[in-house]
Amino acid sequence: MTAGPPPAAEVTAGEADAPRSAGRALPSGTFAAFVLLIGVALAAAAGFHPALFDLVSVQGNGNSAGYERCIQAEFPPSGHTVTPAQMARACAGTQGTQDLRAGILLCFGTMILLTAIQYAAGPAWRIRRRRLRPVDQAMYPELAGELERLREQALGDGHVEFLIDIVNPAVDGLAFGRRKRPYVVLSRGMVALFGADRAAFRAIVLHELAHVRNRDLGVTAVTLALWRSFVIVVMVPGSIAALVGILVGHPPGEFGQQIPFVSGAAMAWLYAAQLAGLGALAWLTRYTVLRSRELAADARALSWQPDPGPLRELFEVPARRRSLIGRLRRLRRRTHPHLRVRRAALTEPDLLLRQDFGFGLVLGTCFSLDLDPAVSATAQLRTNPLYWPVTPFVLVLTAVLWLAMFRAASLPGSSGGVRARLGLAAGLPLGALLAPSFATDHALAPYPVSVQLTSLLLLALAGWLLGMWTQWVVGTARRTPPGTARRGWAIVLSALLVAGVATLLVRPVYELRTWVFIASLTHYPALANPVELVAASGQLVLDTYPLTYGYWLPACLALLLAAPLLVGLLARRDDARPGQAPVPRRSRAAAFWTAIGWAVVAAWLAEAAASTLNAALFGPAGSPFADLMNWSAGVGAAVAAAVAALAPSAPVLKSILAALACGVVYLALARTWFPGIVSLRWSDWMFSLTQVLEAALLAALLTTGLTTAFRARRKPAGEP
Amino acid sequence: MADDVLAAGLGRNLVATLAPAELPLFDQTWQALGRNPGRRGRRREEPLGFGLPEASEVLVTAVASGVVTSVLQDLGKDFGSWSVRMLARIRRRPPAVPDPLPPLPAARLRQIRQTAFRKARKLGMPEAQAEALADALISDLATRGAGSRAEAGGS
Repeated sequence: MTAGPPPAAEVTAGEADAPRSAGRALPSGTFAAFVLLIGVALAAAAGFHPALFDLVSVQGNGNSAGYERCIQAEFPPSGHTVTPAQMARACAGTQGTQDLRAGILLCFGTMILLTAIQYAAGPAWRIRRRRLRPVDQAMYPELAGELERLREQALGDGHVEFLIDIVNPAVDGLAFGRRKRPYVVLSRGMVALFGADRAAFRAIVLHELAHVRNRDLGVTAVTLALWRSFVIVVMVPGSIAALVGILVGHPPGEFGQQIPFVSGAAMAWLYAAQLAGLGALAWLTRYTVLRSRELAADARALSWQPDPGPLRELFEVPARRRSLIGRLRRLRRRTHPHLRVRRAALTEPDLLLRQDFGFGLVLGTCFSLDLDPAVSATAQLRTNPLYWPVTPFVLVLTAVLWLAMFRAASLPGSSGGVRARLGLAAGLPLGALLAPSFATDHALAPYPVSVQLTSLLLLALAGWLLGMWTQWVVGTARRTPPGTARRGWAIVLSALLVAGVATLLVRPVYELRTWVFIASLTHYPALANPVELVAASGQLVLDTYPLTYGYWLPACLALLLAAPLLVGLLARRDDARPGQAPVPRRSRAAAFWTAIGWAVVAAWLAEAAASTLNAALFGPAGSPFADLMNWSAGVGAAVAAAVAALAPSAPVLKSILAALACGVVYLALARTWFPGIVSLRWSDWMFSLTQVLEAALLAALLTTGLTTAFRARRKPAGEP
Repeated sequence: MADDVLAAGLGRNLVATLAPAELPLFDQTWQALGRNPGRRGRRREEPLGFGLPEASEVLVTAVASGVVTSVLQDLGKDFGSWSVRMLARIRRRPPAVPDPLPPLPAARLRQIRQTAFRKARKLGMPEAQAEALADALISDLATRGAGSRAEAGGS
């Protein structure tokens, strides 16, 4: 007999109670979503704040013509490398003296104030508006006694006040209030249910008490208050402005003065579409918070009353038939998961712990939105930029990602991992599309759709890889023996690792879009193919970053290669691996020649790609430097592909290390034996080593992926 | 105050006829409905609620409250000056209606029945129950009118 998945109650007890009892409670998944909501609201408000707030800003002069003249004078289409910093320096001041920081801060302040007012006054207002009154002990002595027993069972010494909503005939409960002053409301229908079905009554009351126990009240109150503030401060004025913009054929706000290249109705439509997308995103984030709260409350209630029967019966109520408009209206107000999902979650813990596509999508979108005020082309070229704390945002977002993956890793198999990765892959480009700078970047330099699509695809790939990397690191850490010091170290190390990698790589990945933007704006390099243009821009970023930040490349290598090795060592089980059967001589020969084949193909592809890119960046083939770069790429790719094809374990790591060693030897030999290139500077040799590593990484990943896919296809059915 | 008494009296009679089970909590419910009668007969999904789908049950007291308020507002047009009616509209309260009510003509009673039926349907009451409620209200109003006529004749 096979053991089924543990019921949700066991998972909750294991995931939430045990760490709490140890005093090391991890923030819940809902808290993570809540952080995302705050991020979305702030980032959206930074870009889409109503022009009314800018009355307190320094207006100055938009002077778009000056900016346009500067771009054309400073960066003629002859083609030479221009960095964002150079462009900002060259054209600083030509955009005018506008300073919108005060307006943005005022918008933030208004949203926070509105949220605080709602949070503080909400409970009293609700009690007054709905005429709620305490459960009268004299009128309902038995009911009051039962409620007291349930409170003691669920909260121990915790306090909660039970109220009755006498005009609600349905069977319903509601928890609200603040952490120090929680309330649970019972409807009139619940009073009737108390006499008719005591088990169902208890299930509903325990569900509401679970909200109190899970500390949902504060999070939910702030979530809803922030959502309303966002709608009032950003969405409503923005929607009116978008509508007016569409009608008059001109984008709203200051856009008209800031657009040197394009303007018109298309920008107004783009603004409206972005605003609608932001609204949908904020709704989805809010729903994610509320949905996970409900599932967690059901699971908590089950841990107090293990029989899922009463809850299941309650969830089997047939839904009312609705018209399309009715369904849409209900969707807008939706706060609970579908009853089918809640019913399934009673026995499937996956639904409670797994982070699905929606969560990944929201997280990915938040990454792009939260970083936009600092890393977009508009932000980098702005003369009076608002300080935007990129690193804290990245750390918070990666903590959210790590936490989600950590919880999901407790499930058997890789449930939800692919969906979360897909969500991330879709979320990063979606966030870039919704970000305010998407419109302003486009207005500053209308680069072709194909280039935009390619840079968005690059973001999608980055999202997928980030999800895969996090999942792998967390999964490795989770394999350590539970309850040991090694496990603690592995968990801490994995969290630091994910945060470190994201902090190092997020900025270059997003700045790549700025480089593409500049390359397109200055018609440099003269590459017609958008993939080549994006690849050349990526190459420029990779070449520039180590020069600007000396620690960048060693830190990336250490985090990507050495640290995972450490986590893997910590996770290694005490029991020895079963010895591998000796490989026959014939198979070894076949493997060797296969590896040689991989090496030749990889070297050829890498050399071809490198010569195309390097011709555009550093001059046509034939110059010593371009030749050195091309051959470096070929050597790195060949060694990495061969090692990846032969290595029985950790193929990428071994490939990179082997390619690094071979690359150093190759460059030393080249410097000794080829006097034609000895005159190159040290920085050029470092460029070549970077090229070796880049080509090696790509070749190792491709070879590993393809060989794994071939092996999986050839494996007989039933073999583990 | 007299209007409140009249409205509560009419509402109590309706509930006694249509849903006697709600009578024990009638006073509390009527008081809780306050100035927003009828709006609370149905509920909607709330965050941190239990989340069952919107039920079809309707609280008759809430519907009766809404219907009585509408009818009294309608009746108020027949009594008092326009300024009194305007003031009542601003205060969102039905204008003063004499208690006991004077006898109402049959055509006016039919109009009131229509108003009551429409309001009950709007508040989510099933058609048959809304018919019954409108009939009961008309019957009550007619009886009160007849009573006041008898009182006037007697005096």
